[in-house]
Amino acid sequence: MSAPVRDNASKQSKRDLETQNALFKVNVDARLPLERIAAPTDRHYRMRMAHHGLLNANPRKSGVLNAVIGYAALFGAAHIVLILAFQVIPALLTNGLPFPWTGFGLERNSFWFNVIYGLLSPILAFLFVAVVALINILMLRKYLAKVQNRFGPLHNGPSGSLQTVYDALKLVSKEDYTPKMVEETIFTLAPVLVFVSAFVLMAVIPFAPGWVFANVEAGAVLIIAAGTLGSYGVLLAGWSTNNKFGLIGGMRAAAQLVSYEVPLSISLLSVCVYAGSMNLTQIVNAQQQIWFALPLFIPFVVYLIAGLAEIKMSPFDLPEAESELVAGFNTEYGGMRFGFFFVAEFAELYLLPAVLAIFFLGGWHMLPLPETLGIPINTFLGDRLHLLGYKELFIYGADGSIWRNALYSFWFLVKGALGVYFYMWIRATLPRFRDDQLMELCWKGLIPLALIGLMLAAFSKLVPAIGAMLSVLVGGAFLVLVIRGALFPASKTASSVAGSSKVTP
Amino acid sequence: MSLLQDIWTAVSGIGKGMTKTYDEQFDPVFTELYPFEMPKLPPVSVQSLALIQNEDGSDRCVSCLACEKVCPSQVITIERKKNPAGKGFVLERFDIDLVNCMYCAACVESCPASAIVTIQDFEMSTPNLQTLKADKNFLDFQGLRAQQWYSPKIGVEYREGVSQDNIHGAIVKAPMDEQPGGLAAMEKILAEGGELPVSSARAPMHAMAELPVAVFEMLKLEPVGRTLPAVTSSAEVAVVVASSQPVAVVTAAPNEVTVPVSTLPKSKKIKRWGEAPAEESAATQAVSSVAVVSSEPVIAVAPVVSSEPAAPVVVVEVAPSVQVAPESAPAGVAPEAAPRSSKIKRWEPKN
Repeated sequence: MSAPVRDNASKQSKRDLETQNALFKVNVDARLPLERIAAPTDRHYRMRMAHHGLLNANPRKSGVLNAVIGYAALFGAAHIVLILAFQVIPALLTNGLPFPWTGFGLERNSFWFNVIYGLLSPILAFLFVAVVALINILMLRKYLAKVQNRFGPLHNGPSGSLQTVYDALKLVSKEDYTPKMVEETIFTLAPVLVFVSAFVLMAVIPFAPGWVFANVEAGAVLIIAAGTLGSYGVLLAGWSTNNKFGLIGGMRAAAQLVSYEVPLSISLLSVCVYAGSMNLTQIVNAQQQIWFALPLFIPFVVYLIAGLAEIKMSPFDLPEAESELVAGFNTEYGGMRFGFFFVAEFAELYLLPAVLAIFFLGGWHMLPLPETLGIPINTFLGDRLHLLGYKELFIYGADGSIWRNALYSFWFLVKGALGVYFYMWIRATLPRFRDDQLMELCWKGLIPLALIGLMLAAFSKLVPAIGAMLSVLVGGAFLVLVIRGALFPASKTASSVAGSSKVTP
Repeated sequence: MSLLQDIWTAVSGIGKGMTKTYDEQFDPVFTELYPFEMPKLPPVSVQSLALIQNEDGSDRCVSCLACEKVCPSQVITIERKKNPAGKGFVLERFDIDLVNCMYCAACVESCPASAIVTIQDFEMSTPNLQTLKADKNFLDFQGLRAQQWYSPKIGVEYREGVSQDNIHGAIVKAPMDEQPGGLAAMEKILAEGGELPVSSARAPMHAMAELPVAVFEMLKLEPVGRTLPAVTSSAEVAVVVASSQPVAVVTAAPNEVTVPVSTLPKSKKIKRWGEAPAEESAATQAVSSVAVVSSEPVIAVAPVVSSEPAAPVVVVEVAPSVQVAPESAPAGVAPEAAPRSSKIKRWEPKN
């Protein structure tokens, strides 16, 4: 039942046809009940897919449960890496595991413990950053697709959840190519510099009480310094490639990053002033009662905007503006060198909201709960049953236990993820700034605003009543907005009215 | 204050944009997963050409060479010979070069026998262009494969009952509501309670033949609260009444030829490729437009136009012997049916 070979077919095409028939031959009579006569199997892609049984892989029919499991596994992987790094491996080194025969029997903070754990921690941090970057890339693609009424990644893994894994494998397997006219040392060094500047932040970020690689006293300064390092990497990458697009992108990036460092640093410093410490753990612990986003609302907003510029994301994506510069500073890069830029960008996309959560949104702390809310029933967790959480909202378990820390870090990850969602939301909405508007916003808008915020923070530190008043004002305004939005929703947009009808070409 | 105003403009503008973006992420996806799901094509879709064979395997083509002459790309080649059995010609060769064909369907329109038709098979891409130099075997095969095809003379036809034993099956005409053209669309609008656009176009005869069925069905399904107009004489009368719900009252003389309802052909729904079998209810068949044609004289043929739900009874044209009953309906007659749809959907041209 295949199409007959034409008489005037050349030898070449005859051979092609024979090859096709050999490859895609299908016994139509056996496969189909002849409700309809089947099409010739050598004709079309779809027929060949049907022959190989691939048409059953319709992603629309793959099921919601598979997709949920696939995506939850990705998020779970990031959390498991954290638990592994901060709880399981130290326990393994110090005989802390419940099994008596495991472990190396080292003292906590002894010399060899510090050496081994210090060698392991960058690997674990890299693992976490890599997983988070993969998730971010995937979620960005999925989210932008949803906003633009597309599907996004769909075919690799359930609902496309393994797409970025495949992408990473492809990047790794590409040729490590160096163009002819580049400055080779700097060309090689620049991606590393950019990646390290993002990666170093991992050292000081506390995920839960005690869950931090390096509990340095001046953690805030390290964050600011590491951010500045990244602008060097971008500038060097743009200059060393000997490409005009790269150079323009690098120059833009340097100007932008250096400018936006200033309001970013001032807003972080105002938190340090208010909390009275530069240690991130102490800053988080200072927010047990109230999150700093309320009394320090101005630094909070300044950090949101300046952080967006710091990760070079839309509307501040001038350094890699696709429509103007080809890819900006990383035009000449390919393979895993480009992968370093890519991973660094998306790692920062998580790490900056994580810093935001630490400085303004209470870090790992959820809202405090009064002890009296517990029901006096004796359970294995204690003498009271806490439905909403033990001492804090949605946090259970005794102090210092692995469950409590795991829940703390889970909510910390959730806060970071919400920040990532907010940044992606902005990216999906706003168009790019013009160069002069960018500078104007920074020097005329954000820096004075940040200075005012710093001043207010200092005043609030001296006179706590001012802080309380600001909290009430900001919280009240927020509540008013929420209630107004809930009671008087905006009129339906044109797309939501016409949304039910499917456009057919 | 202008600074604050600027800030508020910026913030509210960004808020509006972000609300829009937020709404968009819950909108349906337009992407068609093509290789996995077949798109639903309209009945008249000029994707490819095919030759139709009759149920006994003979060609429909009468070898008149009209298509060959009309083809602007000159891709049709026909050779014919005298029919040894009877009069006319038989085909010896029928080639279409589908690579150079521009799919204008001029051959389809020119064909007097509706032998060459347009089909919906668009999956013609191939690594070997020689497979697109279609000869008669290929075109016949396409005609056998096609579930549904279209020609302007006959409309949409289906090939049904294809099996291993009988690969030609039986060719049936698609029901009226699947035929392209104005009538099916108009009736759909009326069934939804909409209003017809004013047009001077006449409905085709085969559609008119089905209309009494709809009238009877409607009378049976949705009884009106008013008494039927009593016909005193045997004059051939047809009355069209427009009331709050479009209702027709038909009476005919005893000697008038009336078509029994049971014998009238019902339009049947044929399952399409990749389509779930549609539930067919009698309600969907009810046609609001009413036109009754008696033998002579034709008194009223009009679609019902009811712009206001509470409009009084309007007699379009009444023979002198017809009495319209008063408003108050006697008890025992079927009660007032609820208006079918309170809101009137007006017909609007699609843009």
